[in-house]
Amino acid sequence: MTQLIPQIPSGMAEALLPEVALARPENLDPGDEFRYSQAITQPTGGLPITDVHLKQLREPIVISARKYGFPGSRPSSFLDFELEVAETLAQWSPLWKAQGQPSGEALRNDCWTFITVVVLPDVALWRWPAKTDEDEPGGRSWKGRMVGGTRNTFQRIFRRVMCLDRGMDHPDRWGLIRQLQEDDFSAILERPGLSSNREIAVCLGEEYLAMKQRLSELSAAVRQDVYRQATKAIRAYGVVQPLDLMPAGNRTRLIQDAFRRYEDELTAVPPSTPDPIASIGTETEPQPGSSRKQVRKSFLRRLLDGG
Amino acid sequence: MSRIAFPYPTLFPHVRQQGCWEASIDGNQRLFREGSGSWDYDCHLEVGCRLPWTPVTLFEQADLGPLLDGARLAVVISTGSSEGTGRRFVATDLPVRDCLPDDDGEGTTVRINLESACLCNRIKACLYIYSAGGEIAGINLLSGSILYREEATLQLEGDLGSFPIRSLGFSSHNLGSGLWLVDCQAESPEDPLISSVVLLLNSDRPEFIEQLQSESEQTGILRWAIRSDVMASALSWLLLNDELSFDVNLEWPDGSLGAIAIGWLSSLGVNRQAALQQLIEEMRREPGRFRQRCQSACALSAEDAP
Repeated sequence: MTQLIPQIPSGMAEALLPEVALARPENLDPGDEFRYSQAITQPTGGLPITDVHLKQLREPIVISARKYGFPGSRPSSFLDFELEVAETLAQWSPLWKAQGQPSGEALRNDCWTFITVVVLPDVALWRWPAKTDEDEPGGRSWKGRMVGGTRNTFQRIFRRVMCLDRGMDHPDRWGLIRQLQEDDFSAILERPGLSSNREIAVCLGEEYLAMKQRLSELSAAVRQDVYRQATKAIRAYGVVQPLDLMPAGNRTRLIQDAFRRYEDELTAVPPSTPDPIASIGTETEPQPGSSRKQVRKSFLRRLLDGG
Repeated sequence: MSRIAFPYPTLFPHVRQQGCWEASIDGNQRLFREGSGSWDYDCHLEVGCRLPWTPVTLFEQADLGPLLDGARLAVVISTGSSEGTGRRFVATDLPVRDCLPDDDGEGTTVRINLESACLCNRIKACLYIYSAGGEIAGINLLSGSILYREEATLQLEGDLGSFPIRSLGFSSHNLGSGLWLVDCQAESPEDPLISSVVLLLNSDRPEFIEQLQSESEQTGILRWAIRSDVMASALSWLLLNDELSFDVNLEWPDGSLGAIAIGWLSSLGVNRQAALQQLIEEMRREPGRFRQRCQSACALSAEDAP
């Protein structure tokens, strides 16, 4: 039987957020009852979730947060904390059905608003403190962390779990979530055409990590550029060859090739060029070697030729 | 872009008519465009696409016969509140040769079963016919090349059966002692019905809520009254509000207030702008008559259901 998580439509959440924004995290502890009179439940069968279940989500996340300074201080990086949250979300049964498939409730943005604003408002505010502006407490960007959606405090971590799970049988199941950085997650998960299918997202994440290792001596900006160009090419492929349907081996090869070809293009810039990496991204000025545009053109031509 | 994306022979030019997508929800057949009615997490959901052609005939017409043996047909499903937070998965993927013609021999039907408890909001079904690779007219096709693609969306929630319902103490909110209230708020007909209409039930009247919950969904008199009131209230709100500029001839997004209104209006026999103007006039002059017509339309829906 599905456990129904209450939902707060974004319009209603808007009215609630100024109060959260102006509070201190330690004053937002909801106690043992997770109620909000405006919360609704869709008429979709199932049974309303109990406070006991909601507590089973809240408690381990609060314990994790305390390890990282909650509520009084904040760590320099939240990656380890968010990995622990990911592991908690992976085990919280209302989000999952048989064979590790996410439940319908887990895919509802308004449920995540409830989880954030009613079940874990103190942790959410600690993670994403509000800028207290008199006219609009919190601001638009902060609201995106509270209301369900791609940037929501906990829903974004749930998406990492849903999309980057290497599988129950993998010896390092959450390795991708542990090793990827904040910007990497954004780069992968904010392209739903690639990331909404777990098999593609995992493959992309693995290659992204491998590329970062191969190019570890270059700057993060260069690696990001390689990733951006490679994913552009992969998506171009996707127009004629649906990645969803490719045999796993072919898909892995295609993604690897896309990364490596662009990396090769970088290293193939003539040695006479004073600084091959510096030349990338300055296409408005005359280049002594291959310009970025030329590199891309040549790369795309190779892709379309299938060679 | 399409010239670059499809520089090889495909089936697209030879498909004269797209498939007819329908859902079977606990055995009740509905076309995708009619929404899902009473879908919930516990329903048995089967999705079918009746293609008005058989793949074998189509491959012959397109002179792609040599590709037939390696060709596959697949359906990819997306679901969730939004594309950015939802998920996508392959629901079926089988050799085209295994798609047998229907009994009438004029088409082929693809059927897939979906786990309702893993869906929400809506499903987008994307049907592909793709090649496992091969050579045709001197062109070497890569494995996975798309030969045909079409998609359809089934709104699981957001129609008459699935707007938000909340219980509220009417007396403490200065609403007197009524039984229910249909609350409509939208800035445009494009807004989703699900966030535009809320049915408030008076929690000061627990016996009313209990009776409502115990009634049969199809034949309950209270449910019928509320369904028709939701329809009448939402239509009145939409059509009598000049700022919303609703046009019956426009295509509104799936699940939007506008799209649902088109369905309701159609059940009232209103399909053109001129008829719509007459209906608006009737709403103003004879609101009772308009509400009775809504009751009639909702009763028909209930009686039609098995």
